[in-house]
Amino acid sequence: MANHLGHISKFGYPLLRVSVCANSGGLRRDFEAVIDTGFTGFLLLPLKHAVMVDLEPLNAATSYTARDGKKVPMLLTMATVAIGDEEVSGPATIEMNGHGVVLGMEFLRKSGKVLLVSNRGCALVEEELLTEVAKVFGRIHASPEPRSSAATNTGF
Amino acid sequence: MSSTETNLGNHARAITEAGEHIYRAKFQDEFEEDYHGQYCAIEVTTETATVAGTLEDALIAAQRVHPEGVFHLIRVGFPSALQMGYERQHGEPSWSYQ
Repeated sequence: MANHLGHISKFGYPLLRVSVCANSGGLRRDFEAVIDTGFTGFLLLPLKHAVMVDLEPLNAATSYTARDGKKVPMLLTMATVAIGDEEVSGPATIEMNGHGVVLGMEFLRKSGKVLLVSNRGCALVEEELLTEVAKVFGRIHASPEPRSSAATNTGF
Repeated sequence: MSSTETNLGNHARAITEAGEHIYRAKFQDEFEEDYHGQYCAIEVTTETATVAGTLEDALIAAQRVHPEGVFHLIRVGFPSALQMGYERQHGEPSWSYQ
């Protein structure tokens, strides 16, 4: 359990150094990743970055909707993101002509971290810290309803 | 864009179009009543659907049923499984993260 310091890019986005590899292991590379709370996924990376770590797309696709409503199809794979000695695995989306590595809200949820950000720096800290902060303000952080992990095969 | 990027991009687009067509024709009405906000993996060759609370769980469960399947992931009641904070202009993000 640890906290991790990042920094703010020249355009004002929170950046964190992470390493990425396939779930099966193999090549691992360090990338500067943006933590984008407007992105609902786990990890988005350009194809050229996926190739660097031998991340092979699964026979699976999805799409994201950008702020202007445009839908962008992408291939899916499973990847492991490491920050320091902590590792989190999840679904990575591969963008054909993407520009950077992006971590989203699903990454924060799975890693149990909270993003603290100001115009001078950023940090990923343990969720317990948020609970402590909430106590200071006299209210308990309301957890969302736990999402079911059970899958339903509809049998159609 | 390289030919690899073009081919993979076309592959993603083909799976997505097939999956969305199947979803609209067979599942959308019922799922939006029963599974709003959950994630759905459409296996495009058998036209079957698997629903779970997260994208990852839906994909893993669907792969268990169809190990060789081809899947499109949807979030029920949403335009896409994922949302992004930025917009695109002429196919490129309107700004650079770095």
